[in-house]
Amino acid sequence: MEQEAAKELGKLVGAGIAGGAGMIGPGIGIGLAGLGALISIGRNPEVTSTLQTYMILVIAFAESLAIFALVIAFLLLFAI
Amino acid sequence: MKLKNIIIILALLVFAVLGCMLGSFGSGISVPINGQNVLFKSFIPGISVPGEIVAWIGPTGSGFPIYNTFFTMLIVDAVIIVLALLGRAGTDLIKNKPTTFLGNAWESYVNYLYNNYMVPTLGARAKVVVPVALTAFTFILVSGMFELVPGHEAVGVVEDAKVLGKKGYCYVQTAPGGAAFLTGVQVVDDATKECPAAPKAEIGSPLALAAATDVAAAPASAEGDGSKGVLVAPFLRRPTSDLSTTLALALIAFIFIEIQGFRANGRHYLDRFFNFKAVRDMGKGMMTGLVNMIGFGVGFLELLSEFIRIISFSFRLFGNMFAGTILVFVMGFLMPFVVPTLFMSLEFAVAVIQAFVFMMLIVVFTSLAVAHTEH
Repeated sequence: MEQEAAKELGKLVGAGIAGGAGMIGPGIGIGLAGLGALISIGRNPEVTSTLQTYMILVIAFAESLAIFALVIAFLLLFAI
Repeated sequence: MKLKNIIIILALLVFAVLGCMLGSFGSGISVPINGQNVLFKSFIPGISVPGEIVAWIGPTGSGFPIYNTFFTMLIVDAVIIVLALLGRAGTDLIKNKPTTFLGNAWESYVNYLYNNYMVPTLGARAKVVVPVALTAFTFILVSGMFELVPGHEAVGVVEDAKVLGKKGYCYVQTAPGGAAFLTGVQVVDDATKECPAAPKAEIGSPLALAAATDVAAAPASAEGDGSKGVLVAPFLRRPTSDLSTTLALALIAFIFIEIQGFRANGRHYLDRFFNFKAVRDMGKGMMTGLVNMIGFGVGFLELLSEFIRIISFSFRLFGNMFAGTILVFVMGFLMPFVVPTLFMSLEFAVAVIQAFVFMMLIVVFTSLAVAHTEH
């Protein structure tokens, strides 16, 4: 029974760390992508539509890392 | 701001607040079934990473299993093929002009993606990438939209949770042989006697209903045996939320990109991975030798990154779709009314963006592969 409890505790703590810590890097990444795009748009407003596309692309890359962390958290909580 | 926009924003706010309130106060509905009140609570259904088996071709257990993701993929394919054929029928192929709405829609759809994202990156070679990139885009987009189909991840076959090694839920049946509804009470062990005394469904009965947000019941009367917890293997599940499908897509993209590399550069395509010219030139002085040695090592890293692409391709798509499904489940559990709708619209956006990312990656990596190799 104690082993069960320890397993449950490990799952919860692991999911929390995976979900929380895993979001730090992608958050910074998305911020940097937005920053770069905004600075460029401010300097040269004509490229807005082109930049928007690539900004979304880069954000999706960074976001997918966060999604990996989220999947691991979900797997720990529900699937394993 | 226009009055219309203000009204829309206000309505959204009201719905959001209402959803939150209903979530905390109304996470259960009491429904009379067979003369007793059964409380249906929201719950998180059993989450399974691989697809669930919903049917067998041949004998059950030893025949050919039909997974729900495969079944849904057939529907997705049928939808795309029918739409494409209708679009083709709506196009005057001699004058090269669309004549109907669908023909027009397909033309603008293909033209937009082709002119805006393929031609600027690939230039004259843009045509070769169209079949694979556009098919991947359309397939991922349509299968991503299946999140919005009613009954998605909700209607399916009743499964014995114990066989799967998971905790199941109680269920009630309106009539013998009729549809069974999962209740929100989890069957922790055999000693739990909390399931309602309503007639029970047989395991494997084809008609069972459960849902991300609804279907959960605690009994008014606590008699009846709660020994069997069940889960639902849904008929509809997005094919892209199964790792097999995304891996297959990634392999198709990978093989396509390599073939394009070979077609553009011939056997010199391999030079960027196995840089033997650098080894030959290593004797030309200290500095050149060092640089060439590094160049030779970088070739192997390139080769490795080529294969890592398969993993990143497949896991990105799978992760986004799978996490999206669970996100809707969890939101339905926390706030069962209205609010999950907002997250479903978010899921729609995610489907569009991921389809776009997948297509763009194929285009960009193809352009890298067909780039001229130094030799």
